[in-house]
Order: sequence, then C-alpha cells, then structure tokens
Amino acid sequence: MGWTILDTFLDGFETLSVEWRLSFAEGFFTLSRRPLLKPRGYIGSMTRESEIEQILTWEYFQEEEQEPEWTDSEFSGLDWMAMAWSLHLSQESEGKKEGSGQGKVKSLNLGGPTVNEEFVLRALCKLLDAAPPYQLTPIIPKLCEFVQWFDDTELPEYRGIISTRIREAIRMHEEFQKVHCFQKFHCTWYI
Amino acid sequence: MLVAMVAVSLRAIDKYFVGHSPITTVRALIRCMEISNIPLAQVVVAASDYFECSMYDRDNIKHLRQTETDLTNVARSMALPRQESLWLLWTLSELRSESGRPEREPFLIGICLAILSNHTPIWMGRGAFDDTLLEAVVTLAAMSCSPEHSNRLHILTSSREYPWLLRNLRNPALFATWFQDIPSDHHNQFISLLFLVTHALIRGGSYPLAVQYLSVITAKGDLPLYTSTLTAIAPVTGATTLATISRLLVAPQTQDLVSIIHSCMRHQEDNFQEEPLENYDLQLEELLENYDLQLGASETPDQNFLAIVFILFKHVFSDTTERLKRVIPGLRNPQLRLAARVVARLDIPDGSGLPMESLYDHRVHNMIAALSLQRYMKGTVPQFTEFVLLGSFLESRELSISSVALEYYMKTAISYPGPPAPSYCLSAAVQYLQRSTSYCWTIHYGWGGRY
Repeated sequence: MGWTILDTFLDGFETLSVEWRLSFAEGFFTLSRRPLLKPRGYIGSMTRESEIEQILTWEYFQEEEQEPEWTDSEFSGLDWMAMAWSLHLSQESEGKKEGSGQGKVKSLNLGGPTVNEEFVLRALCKLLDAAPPYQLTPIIPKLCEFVQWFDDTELPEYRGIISTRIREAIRMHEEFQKVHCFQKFHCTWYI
Repeated sequence: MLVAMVAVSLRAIDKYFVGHSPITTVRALIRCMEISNIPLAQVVVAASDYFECSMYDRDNIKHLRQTETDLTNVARSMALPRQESLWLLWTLSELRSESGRPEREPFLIGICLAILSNHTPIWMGRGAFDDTLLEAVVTLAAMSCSPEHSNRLHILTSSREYPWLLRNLRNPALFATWFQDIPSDHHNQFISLLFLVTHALIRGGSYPLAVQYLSVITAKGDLPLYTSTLTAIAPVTGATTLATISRLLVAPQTQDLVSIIHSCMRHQEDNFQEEPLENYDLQLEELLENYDLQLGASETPDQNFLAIVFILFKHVFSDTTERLKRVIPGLRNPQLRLAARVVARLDIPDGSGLPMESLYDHRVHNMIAALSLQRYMKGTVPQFTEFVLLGSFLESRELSISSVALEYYMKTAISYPGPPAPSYCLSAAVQYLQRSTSYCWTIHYGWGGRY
C-alpha cells in the first residue's frame, strides 16, 4: 500500500462517486489499532510479486494459523503518511549524498508515482474533502503538526484548503460539544 | 561401546536384561556423555526407555505415552541415517512380534512415516529406492495394525525368511482392513505412509503394485481424507507423483489406472530427479473433468484438491491452457469452473455467473487471488473487467494480495463509464493496508519524525 494506491485515488477522484470517496477516506482516517503482523520476509528485499509467489507454495498452505496481536495505541492513515513521507525524504537525501540518484528518489514505491510536496498535499486535500468532518476531530492535532512540515513550500492553495477543513472540523466539534452540554444540562435538570 | 551394550541388550533373545540395573545405569551414563547427541545413541536410548516402560511399567499410561512420544520425536527430528533407521525398524518389529498383548500400537505408524518422509527425498536425489528400508517400514506398519500375536509373527517371519523377495512390500492385502484396524485419529498418518509407499513404487516403475496399494487406500472412499494427506506429503513427493496420484484418485472405476501412470510417467528418465513440469503430460483437463463427474453441480469442491491444482499449475503452459479452454464450458460445477478459469489465466468478468464470494478456505481463496493477480502485475490484462472478482480479494489479510487487489479494483472502477458501488470491504481494506504497511515500516525504519 502506499503512494501508488493514493495516486490511483487521486487519478480517479473526479470519476469516482461520493460513496466511493467517502468509503476510501473513511478507511484512511479511521483510528484503529495496528495488527502486529509478521511480514513475509524482509520488506526491503521482497517484491509484491515474490510475496504473491510465496502464497502458491506448500509452506504457505501448511502454515499454522496465528491469531493476530494488536498494538496498544491507535493509528490512522495520517500516521502512515507522515512516516512514509519522512522515509521518502531520508531516502532522497541519502540518494543525493551518494550522488547516484541526481535527485531521483529511490524509495519503496518503485515504479510508483512521483512523490513530492505537491503530491502529498494534494492527496491530503482530496482525502479531507471526502472524509466526514467528525472523523477528523481526533486527529486534528496531528494534522496541524503534519501540515507545518510543509510551511517552507510554496503551495499556499493546498495549505489554505487544509486549514479551512481543519477549522470546519473544529467548529463542528465545538457545536456538537455545545449541543451535548445543553442536552446534558436539560437531562440533569429534568432528573 | 556403551551404546552397543544397550543396542545388543534390546535385540538379545533374553530382553529381560533391559530393565535390569546394569543396562539402566549404562543408559543413564550415555545421557550424561557427549555421545548422547549421536543419532545411534539417541535412538537406542529412546527405544530402550520405551521397551522398559512397555514391559515393566505398562500401567503407567502417562509414562508410556511419554516414551512413545520421545521415540517418535527421535525418528522425526533426527533425520536418522539408514543404518540407524533400519536398526530401529527391525528392533521395534521384533519387540512387537514377541509381545503377546492383543492391543494394536498405532504410534508405530508415526515412526514409520517419519523414517519414510526423511528418506524419500534422499532416494529421489540418489535415483534409487532402498527396498530393504521400504520392506522394513511396511513390515512394522503391518505389525502395528495387527492385534493377533500369531499374525504379527507371520508377518515378521515372512519378511525375514527371504528378505530379497520383499514379501510384505509386495502384499498390500496386509492393509486391506486398515480403516477397521487403525483408530481414526491415526488415519491421516497411515494414509500418508501408504501414499509414500505408492510414490516409491511409482517412481521405481512398479506400476501394477502401486495401483494395488491405491485400491487398498481408497477402500474407504473418503476423498477429503486422501487429498488432505496428499497435501501433507506433497513437499516430499514432488509435483509429478502428486499429479499422478491425484489423477488416480478421481479416475472413474472403468479406467485402467496403470495406463494413467504410464501416461503420466512416460517422459521419466532412469533417475528420479524431478524434471521441469512441462515435460510431463499431467492432463489437468482430465483431472478436472473426472473430479467434476464425481462432484456434480452443487457440491463444494474439496479445498485440498483445489490447492493441489493451484500449486501444480502455478506455471501454466500454453498447450494446457488451450486444452483447458475446450474443457471449461463442459464443467458442471461452477466453483470448479472458476478454479479452471483461474488456472488457465482466463479473465472472469462481472456477470459471468461464477461464484466470486469467498466460498473457499481463506488460504485457497488467497491462492486464487495470487494466480489471478499475477496477470495484473505483469501487465497482461488487456482491459479491466473483473471488478467483482477483485473486490472479493479485498478481504484478504495477506498484505501483498490486498494491496495489489485494491490498486486494480480502483483502476477497474475508474475504467468503467459509471463506476459501480464500492465493495463493503473497501473501507476496511484501506484501513488494514495503511495500518499494516506502517507497522512493517516501523519495524524496519522506526518513526521518522520531522525531516
């Protein structure tokens, strides 16, 4: 998973229905605990093709089932995005240091889309656009922090859209809190 | 010398010395010495423990089972060399022949199976089967199922009298009533053992005898049992035998089984080395047609059978595809038809009438996904039409499958003029993939933080 799927989502954003966008964005921003999977082989040395080949073996068929374990804390796709972006940048700087890449990115998404600031911010904008505001509430602090990473970039339109979406989410959350307090007061009074 | 003392005491005429204090002391001494890691020392000590317990402490069931397990583990884990294996088989056969107790000892089948599983790949590599070892295995297995002392004695004598005649190996009737003689929880092991014997006979060119063994095996008519044991021994036997036995299992009664083996093995050279699979005429279409006849239109195909088909034909050859294309329309069972299309790398467009929902064991479903998705990754899919099929793979908890499936599921949806409604699994698949990928990256790279 990663940039390739996000790129596909961006490519088809205008074609896909609201239901599609919502479903994708919901999956992306939902906070949940991570499965403590045992990855098949070392992620850096195995391609998707070889991982899929491994499924067509007796070792796979006879492997005993393992109940997945879960992490204690919860994560969303934003955590993945932050991590993947950091990794991408570190690989990029390593490539530049070695002088072999001439700025070309040698990352895990070989053959994938060109990942740069614009791509990440555009993807985030589309995802925020598709997601229901209530889902953004718990990740607002992380979202603000992540967007700050791009303060130096000259892409104000994307940062503007993201800020607007964050403000909307905060406003809706506050309104909800007010209504909730009001109802709680009435209930207490009634009792 | 110490090991030899215990070994000799076990095979001596008067075995009562085994439980006596000198031998017990020697055994304890061996355990404390460096030689305890030598295969012969391990096998001799474990056999001696078992014998002493079965002779003097038989009422202590827990201890007896422990010694049986220890002995089986030694046979299983040590990859015992030939001489040690023969010593163990012969010794246990002698002990069994001398025991006057009427009960069967099915745990001995586990020992036979372990030895045969260890030696079959060696034989395959060497290009010759060890008839002596095979005869010893069959003899002990036959004796383990027999409750009558006289019969056990007869089996042993028959083998020892003229060892070169391989009388027990040539007499599959010894196992004719195996499903009555052996407790059901040992059926899997027993069938695995007989399949390995059949494999040896097929690769050794004794086709009629192999067919006789197969008749004995299939007397119970329990195809799921046979296919599950076949998958269990598949890594040992190799693809050719697996394909051959699979064809024999589903062949109609009227068909000449020897001729099936001939047709499967006609390209076999003198040695047993597995040749590239395309050199064998495995007749996948015949395998599927015969199974379809047995299955009918409404039965669910056996998951192990499908796994065999998928693994055997993960690299499909053009002539197989062509023959399959002709056969597929005639298959009555929709799930088998789906499997055949997957093997032939034919697309399964929406509305094809084939069952796309997860009807299978999840491992088999993942195999279907793996075979189907290879075409996408190689870029050989001319147009995206398999929206429903790809959607069914989103449920997979194999990261590689769900990520490839999600990518092409979305590409397929985008390629449609009016994208169909998304699968109920879409959101969960996105969620699962993001979490799992970030987990893998955390392991290998740690949290990056700000750059």
